Amino acid sequence: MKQFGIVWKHEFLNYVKTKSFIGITAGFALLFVIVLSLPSFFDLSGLIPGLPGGNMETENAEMTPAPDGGAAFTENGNAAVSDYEGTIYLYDAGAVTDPDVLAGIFPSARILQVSSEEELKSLVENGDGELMEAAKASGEDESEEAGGPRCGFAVDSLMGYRYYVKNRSFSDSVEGTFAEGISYLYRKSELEKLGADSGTVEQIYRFSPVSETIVLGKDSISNFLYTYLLIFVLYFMVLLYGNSVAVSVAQEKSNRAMEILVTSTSSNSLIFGKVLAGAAAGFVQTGVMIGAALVSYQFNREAWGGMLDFVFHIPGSVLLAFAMFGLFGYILYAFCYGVLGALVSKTEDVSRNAGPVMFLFVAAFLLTMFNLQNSDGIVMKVLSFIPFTSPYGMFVRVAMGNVAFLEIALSFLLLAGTILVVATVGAKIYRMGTLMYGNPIKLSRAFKMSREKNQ
Amino acid sequence: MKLEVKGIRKSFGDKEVLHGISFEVESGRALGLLGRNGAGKTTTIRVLMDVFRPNKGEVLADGKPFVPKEYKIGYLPEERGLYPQKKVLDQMVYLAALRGMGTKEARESGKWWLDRLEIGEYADRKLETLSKGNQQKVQLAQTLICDPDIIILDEPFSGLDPVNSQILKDVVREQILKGRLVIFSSHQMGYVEEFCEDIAIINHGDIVLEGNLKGIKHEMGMNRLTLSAVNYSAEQLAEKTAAEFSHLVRVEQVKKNYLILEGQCGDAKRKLLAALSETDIDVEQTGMYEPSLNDIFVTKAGDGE
Repeated sequence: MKQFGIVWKHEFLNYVKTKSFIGITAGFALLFVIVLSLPSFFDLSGLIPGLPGGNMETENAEMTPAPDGGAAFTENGNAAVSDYEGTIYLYDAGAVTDPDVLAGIFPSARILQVSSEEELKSLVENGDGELMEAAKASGEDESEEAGGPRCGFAVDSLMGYRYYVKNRSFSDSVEGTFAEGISYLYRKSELEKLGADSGTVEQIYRFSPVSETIVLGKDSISNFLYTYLLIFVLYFMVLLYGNSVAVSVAQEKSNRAMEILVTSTSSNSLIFGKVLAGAAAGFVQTGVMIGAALVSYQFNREAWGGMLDFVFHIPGSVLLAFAMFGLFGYILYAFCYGVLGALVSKTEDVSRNAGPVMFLFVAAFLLTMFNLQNSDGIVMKVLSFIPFTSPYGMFVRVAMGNVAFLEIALSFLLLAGTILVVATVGAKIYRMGTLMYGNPIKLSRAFKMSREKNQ
Repeated sequence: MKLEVKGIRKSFGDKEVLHGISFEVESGRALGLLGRNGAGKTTTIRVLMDVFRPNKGEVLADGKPFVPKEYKIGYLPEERGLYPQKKVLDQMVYLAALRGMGTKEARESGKWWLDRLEIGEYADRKLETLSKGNQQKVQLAQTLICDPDIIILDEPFSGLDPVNSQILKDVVREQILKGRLVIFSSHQMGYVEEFCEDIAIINHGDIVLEGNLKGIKHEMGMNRLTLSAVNYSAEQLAEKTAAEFSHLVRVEQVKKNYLILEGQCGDAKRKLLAALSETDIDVEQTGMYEPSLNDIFVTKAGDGE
């Protein structure tokens, strides 16, 4: 036990004394503290909409330009208002559009009527010569987009139109906004034919009730993001530190320090010390970073107006489940990595030999991710009991689903029992593998040899 | 203390690599554990240190089962093993702590040994920045840091220049004089002859020769003579001896400058000298033959065996 303590301390200090460990841990913790404290010291409402302390009136004014004809459509702020700032060429063959409505939904755009669809197409494709010249003369951008972005609509009737755009961006919302405007004009025209007051009808249609949601159990919508993030944290922690454990074992073989170590202490002290030191280092790093973020947010929650609750306001039960299943899951995989490290003689062989464990771990991760939105489904239930997947599965069920305490306890016992079995077999393989040099030893052969007596 | 290795057999899978190794060594003496590469020396040492458990046989200390944990053992493996990127003294203290020493005590002892081996100024340097010879001395300091009762040195002189070899020789002699039990494995037979009173030669997992080195030399040299002549080369002398004195001696080996002859009758040496005086052979040198350890090793562990 004393020797285990010595190995653990040595290995733990090996991790935490490195500049990269200190830099990353302290750097991220500090970053979280600074960023999350900013709203307490500065008024960021201009940068982050919805943050307390901002001028809401300005925001409303921007949302509702409400020119005369489009007032009924845009006045409640329900209609889409585009912030598009380019030129819209309009070929309205039947003169069915309403300039006021279009100006209402495209308040920042320049809407220009053209006389034919061909002209519209040419202008969209090549730009307006005068505008281009003006742009060049003023030394502005001489690229294809000189004179600002442009697009065009050829409207046949309120029943249909064609949208022309040269290069469509990923976030192009002009066409969607235009469609809403045309739909509104169609509704208005049809309602007028029926003799109804389109303004009143529009208001009725756009009515939205004042509602409040009171969640008595778990709110998957608000729990989703932090559950998702914590799964990623566990994923990266196992990948980074698990690999470190394997490399650390393989290094001691490749630099032959193992020759001295195995004659100075028991192989059990070595593997347990190494794995648990890696686990502790991983948890210290993760704990400090997450802790700094959570505590910092808690102190500044009021300044944020609770708007980041979905990321940083994590219930204690979820954190506890993450700590327990995350820690034990990590230890389970770290043992596997440690054993695999003992089966190779060169550090460069570690990643190749670690393939099966990595595959198992990534498969568990992907299965969890694919079923994250169905946390009470049968797949997640199965995943929450298999020890190699329960660190994810049971954590997700605790965070987002319905799970009885007995199920949690059973899953945890299964996980702990599996760690015990893997650690016992792993220590034997480690003992045998550490002094076998040469080509990587296959896992199947290692199992066979570990069962032999007198190893 | 008397350490006895008795009939050790060890298999890996279906392959038996040690077929019944036996030898013994006492405190204040050094045993030369010899053998060709892959003969089974390192496996024997690992069995001795309980890294491998034998399939058969036992190791006894003063007649009782030997438990390595109960003794302070200093082991210098043939494959040098330390942490290249760690500071010299830090890693020595870590390894000493694993062998039961307190940190403060280990640090003091480590400094003492580094100074003794004339590398005290490198205590806070990373091991990889030291020359090969100095790394080897760090390895030796690490072996001796815990003031071991049993010292196992596997090829301790490799990589050392003559000056450093002399320092190491002095240290090994000191340890033997202090009553330590030393097991010394090397292919440099000169060093083995200098330190070891006893030897054990392992070949293909078997002990092929074991006992007191002087006794072995005497026994292997018994009834053997050396002969060289001023006026004959070794080959010519061999031909003449075989032709004229075959009733007295048999030519066993033709060396570069002399012959090794095996007596064929009780008083072969005296009779041969008398017979030689009757011939034109101008005897340069003759005497009782005592084989070198190198000769013994080649005879016992060579391919001919």
